[in-house]
Amino acid sequence: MKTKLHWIAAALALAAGGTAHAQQAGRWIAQIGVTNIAPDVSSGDLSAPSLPGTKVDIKSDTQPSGAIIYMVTDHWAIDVPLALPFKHDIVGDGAIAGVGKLGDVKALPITLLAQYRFGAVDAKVRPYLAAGPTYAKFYHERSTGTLSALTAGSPTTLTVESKLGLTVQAGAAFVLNEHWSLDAAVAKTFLKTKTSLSTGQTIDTRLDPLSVSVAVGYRF
Amino acid sequence: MRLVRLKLAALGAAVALAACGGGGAGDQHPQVAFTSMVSFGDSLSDVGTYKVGTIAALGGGKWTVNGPTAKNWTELIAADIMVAPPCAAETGLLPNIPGLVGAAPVTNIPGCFNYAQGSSRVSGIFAPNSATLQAAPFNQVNLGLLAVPIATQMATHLTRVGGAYSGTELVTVLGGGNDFFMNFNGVAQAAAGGAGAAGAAFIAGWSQSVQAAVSAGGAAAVGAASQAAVAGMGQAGAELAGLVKTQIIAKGAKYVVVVNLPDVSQTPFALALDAPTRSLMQTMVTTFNTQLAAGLNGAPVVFVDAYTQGHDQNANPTQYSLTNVTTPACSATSPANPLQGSSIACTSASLIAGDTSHYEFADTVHPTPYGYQLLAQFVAIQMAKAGWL
Repeated sequence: MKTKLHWIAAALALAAGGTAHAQQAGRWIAQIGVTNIAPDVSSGDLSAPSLPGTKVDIKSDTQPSGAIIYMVTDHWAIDVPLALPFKHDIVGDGAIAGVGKLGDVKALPITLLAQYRFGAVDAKVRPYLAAGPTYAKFYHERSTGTLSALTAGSPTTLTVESKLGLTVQAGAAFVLNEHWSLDAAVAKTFLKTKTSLSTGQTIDTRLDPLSVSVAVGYRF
Repeated sequence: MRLVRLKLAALGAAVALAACGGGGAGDQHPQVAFTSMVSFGDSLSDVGTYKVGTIAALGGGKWTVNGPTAKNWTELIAADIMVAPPCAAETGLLPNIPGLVGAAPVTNIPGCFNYAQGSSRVSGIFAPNSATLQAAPFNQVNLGLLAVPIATQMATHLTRVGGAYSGTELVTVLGGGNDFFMNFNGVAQAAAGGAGAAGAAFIAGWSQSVQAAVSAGGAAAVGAASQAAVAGMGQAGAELAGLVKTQIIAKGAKYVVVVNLPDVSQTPFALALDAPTRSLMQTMVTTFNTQLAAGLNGAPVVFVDAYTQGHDQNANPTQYSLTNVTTPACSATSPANPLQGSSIACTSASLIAGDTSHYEFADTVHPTPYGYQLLAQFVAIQMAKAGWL
């Protein structure tokens, strides 16, 4: 118990004693944390032959993530988010809502953000806004027997087109001390893709995922 | 050595390609570990009861456009649930048409659990082209279909498996079509009256008072027959629901699919008839389906509304990639089919001209392989919604 208190006191002291200028021009920041990506799907209809209104939904996934940030000026930064590949389940919706999992797909979003950090370089909290392109790489698509049965593909396979989209982000860095900070961010990516089945059918989907990340940052 | 290295390099490239390639098939197993499939019904589920003698020699045997890849919906569902392809539980054919070779005696195939036979009714033994109609006083010259009633099919299965289901079978039931045809035949014969009308009423299964009423002929007879036909269909629907509950569910089956009767009034057979007649046909079908659904209300079955789905396919053929929903693909005049276009003897050698691969109907009432595929896909959706796929 005593030891624990010691540690907390030490952490508080560190935080309080953090040197200013943690996020000024020329600094590199590396982050490590977790990101949840939740697609906000608006699905088109699967092309013929299909039940009218055959749609899909795509489920969220959480993976370890990180970022490399370079402070170009005291306010402008370049942020390259990194993450392990996400794996999203594809499930039936619309006329086939309730049929369960149709497949899954791995997604690797490759994003480059131009970030503007508000506040002084020595501020304890630095909110930021960012925007930039995202290339969503989709790969390793896997179908289930349900998809095969619904589309008479025996078996049916699917491919999801990798696409370029736009990401906007809002977040804040909470500076703990000269080196360490906590970071929380919410990002929205505007992204449309098309999925093709081996049966020749296609379905357009607007994915527009919302990403929520929390991370610990270290400034070099 | 060099060769080996080259081979290894090729292998490495192949592995790399496989790893980064596009989509693949993941685990295709269904949620439920089914062990077998048991089917009861009529021609729509029959996988080859009559694939004997002349029919087999012609390349026929299923009620569709026959061919090496032609499957009906029960075969497609069996593939979906990864059980052995269904085979006919009984084979044989007893034709008395000169020149047509059948197969007698009838053979039981113990390891096969698809009991569905073309022309089977729910419980009636007099059915379209059934061997039972060859005897006096009917004296029909016909194909001699076995047409074992669905009630008997279910009892036979229970006898074979010791009186109970294991609980891991998928059981499918689709019937009522031949009750429709026999009841409709009673209506069609009523106007002429006499022994013909009375006989048709008898084999439809109508009461003695209706048999007497129709023998008088005329409009009154048609009226009485129409009433009896609708009532008869209601009775058949209720009876089939009762059989599903007492002979399948109560005997331990846990996964039961019941498909209702597609709308016969939308088949090519009906399109040749006038509007009031088609309206009566539709009432007969809906009365059957209403009683079937009412009887199974609350029962643990996946109820597949093929009637409504068929209407949607007819109304929106393009949505289902159907190119024709009114014309049979099988030619009624092809010399390659001695049965005047009946799908049981129809193959690619006896089709009408043009591309019929996406026609709905093979003959005047039975689906093409593509029509069966659409039915199987619709059944699969309902099974998936129940968590079985």
